[in-house]
Amino acid sequence: MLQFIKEGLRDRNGQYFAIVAAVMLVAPLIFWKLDLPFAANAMLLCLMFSIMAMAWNLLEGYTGQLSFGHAVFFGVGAYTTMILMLYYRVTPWVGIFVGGLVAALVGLALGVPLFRLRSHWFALATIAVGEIFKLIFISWDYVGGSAGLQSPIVPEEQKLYYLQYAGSYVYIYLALGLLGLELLIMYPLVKSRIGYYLQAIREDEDAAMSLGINPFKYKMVAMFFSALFTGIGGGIYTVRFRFVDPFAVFDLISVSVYITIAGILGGIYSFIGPIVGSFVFVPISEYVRVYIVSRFPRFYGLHVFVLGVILLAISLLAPEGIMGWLEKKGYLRKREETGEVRKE
Amino acid sequence: MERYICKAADTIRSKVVALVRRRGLSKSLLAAIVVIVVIIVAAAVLMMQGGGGAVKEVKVGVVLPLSGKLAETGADLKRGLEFAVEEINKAGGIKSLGGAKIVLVFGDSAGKPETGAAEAERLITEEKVVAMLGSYQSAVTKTVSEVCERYHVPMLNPESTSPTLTARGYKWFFRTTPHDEMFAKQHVDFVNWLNKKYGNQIKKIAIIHEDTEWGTATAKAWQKYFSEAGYQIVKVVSYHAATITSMDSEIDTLKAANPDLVLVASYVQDAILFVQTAKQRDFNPKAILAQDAGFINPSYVKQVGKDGFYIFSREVFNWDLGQKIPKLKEVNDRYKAKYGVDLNGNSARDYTGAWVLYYALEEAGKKASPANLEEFRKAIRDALASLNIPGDKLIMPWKGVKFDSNGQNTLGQGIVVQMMDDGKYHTVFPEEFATAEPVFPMPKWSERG
Repeated sequence: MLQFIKEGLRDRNGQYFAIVAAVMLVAPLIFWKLDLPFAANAMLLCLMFSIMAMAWNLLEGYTGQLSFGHAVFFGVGAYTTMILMLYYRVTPWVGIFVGGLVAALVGLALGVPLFRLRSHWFALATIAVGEIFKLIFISWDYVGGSAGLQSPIVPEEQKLYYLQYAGSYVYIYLALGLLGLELLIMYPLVKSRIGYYLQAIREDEDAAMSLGINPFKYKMVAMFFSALFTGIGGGIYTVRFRFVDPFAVFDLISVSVYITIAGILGGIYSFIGPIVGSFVFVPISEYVRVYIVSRFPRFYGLHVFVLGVILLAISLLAPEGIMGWLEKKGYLRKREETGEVRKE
Repeated sequence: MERYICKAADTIRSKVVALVRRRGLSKSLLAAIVVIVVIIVAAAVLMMQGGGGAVKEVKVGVVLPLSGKLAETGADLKRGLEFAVEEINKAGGIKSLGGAKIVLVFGDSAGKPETGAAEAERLITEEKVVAMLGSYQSAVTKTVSEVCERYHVPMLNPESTSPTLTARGYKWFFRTTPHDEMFAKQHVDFVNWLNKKYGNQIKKIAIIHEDTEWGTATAKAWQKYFSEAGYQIVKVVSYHAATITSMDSEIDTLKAANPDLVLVASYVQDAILFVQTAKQRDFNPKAILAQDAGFINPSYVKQVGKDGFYIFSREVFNWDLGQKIPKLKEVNDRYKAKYGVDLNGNSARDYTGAWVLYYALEEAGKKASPANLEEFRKAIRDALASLNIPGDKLIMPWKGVKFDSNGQNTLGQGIVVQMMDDGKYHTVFPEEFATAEPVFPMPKWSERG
């Protein structure tokens, strides 16, 4: 193990990774010491969206299937974790992963009809699926209907079992661990034969098929992992906020579209692009909201406008995403070395 | 182990030095690092300021939907709170704390439960508020109050009506407004009163409701309380408000059951559809009693016009209450002079909420000082729990404010209004607030001009 770390640190990417990881591990402690719950919450949201945007990008960036329906997997993961915890007293330590798996199974089930559609028709269908799930959960009494579910406050000695802590500090480490797990699974996946098949499908589905790749099969593989980690993101939401309702977790804008923005902002043709995108997008949207509302209380809603302008500016200046822009300016090595196909 | 860490640190340091020495990257990278460090330090310094010194102001946190679909409502609620605080501060602030002023610190929930919770945490730990107010939507109030309960911060909720909020056994949560179940009970009182007055004409009741949490819970409460009171429920019909385009079959079903009274829980568009279809199908119950919401919306009033006459609705507040509550008239005149609009059910309830919290702050100030935040918050909680405000100190049509062990105000009540032929709603019940005699039974569609 130590040998592995030593090897890793010789490489420049490895060193960057070590620095970033160290900052991430220390930051929550600083927030906690200085009593900065808002910064901590923003960091947690960054990590949550990193996990989900990266999962989303396996479908969009690698496979070329643009989804606006990832709220479905997020919501299913969140609800599964909550129901297991509330009705069956299953610890979220297990529930989060079960939630991910259930979301992945839902993803496979949805994949069968959805992958019959291509390009924008697929994207439109995912929007519809998201709204359908919202309506189902609104009228389903077992999951609390439109009132949603809230977990009660547990006594001190059960805190660890039910993962209930004030603030975001503890959850940041949980999210970091899960993001690490995702990296460990996703990186080998996209570097494997499957990763190249997916990119072949993205570039030209018919050509890929003529080479003997079964697009449906590999799209389903991508869907499985994409839904799995989005569902895990939903589990983090549940343990952090201890409340789920259909309007919050199946929301088209604040879940599905935000994931998409984070992914596209960071750069979809880059493995870590969605993480970078999340760490840029989420803090901007959070801080703009808080500071505009408290500085200019008369102009409520102004922050949405400011956020829109910032996003517009970034998309005009760096249409290829932040990672693409950095690359163009020469701050990053060209993609050939990382083996990914460049789409012009 | 140490050896490896030292080595790793060495490598990192040498690499950073090498990176900085290289031309091109160095300047921009250094500049970026400097900027980031400056921002962090500046932020930290700004955060550090604030505390210390004698108590000149007491901060109260407010989480409301200030953006998103409910921004308009949020702005209304905000005005009600700000107006109350302005009056309190003008009148000398919190006297038991040497005239300390109340300062409201706002957080925007954007209508989302998770954002509301995060905002509550920020207000509690960064802004160090002594108490919380808000948050309108029941879903947001659920998460905000959960945060308050965890951090031991008293929360006063003036305007969320889901009954579940005060069924959770929270110790730090207080609600001044009556909730949906209390309103349903009051409907029974009203119908009993009508029967007494007009000779037992109402026996058979039908219910029609939209199917979200609010409509479903209301219908359940109606069934429970009306059958307990000995009425016969002849039909219950539900529909989905977001997608309904025709109510023909719903009205026909109701008509076939031939009820004396129809209870309605609807939002705006479906309320309009209900009235229009009832007219088309010549459906003539002796009375229609609605549960506020769609039926009091200005666009409903405008669109149904004459057809909406003689329909009863439960309300929390009405424009004509000023005739019966002198204090309300005074407040409303000043409010209108400042903002150009009348108080409504939302702004009046939040105005009242701010005053109730002020009474508790005044009590708490006698026992503790805001310098010790934890103790002061506890003192506010205790003050709220033992508060007893008589009705004549309020602008609401309530008997007063007194909380039970779940934090629910037991002295609150709604009113029943009826739209008369001037196209306005008039208060008809309870009698002490009534400005008009009810028209009962309502005239048949064929007899109307």
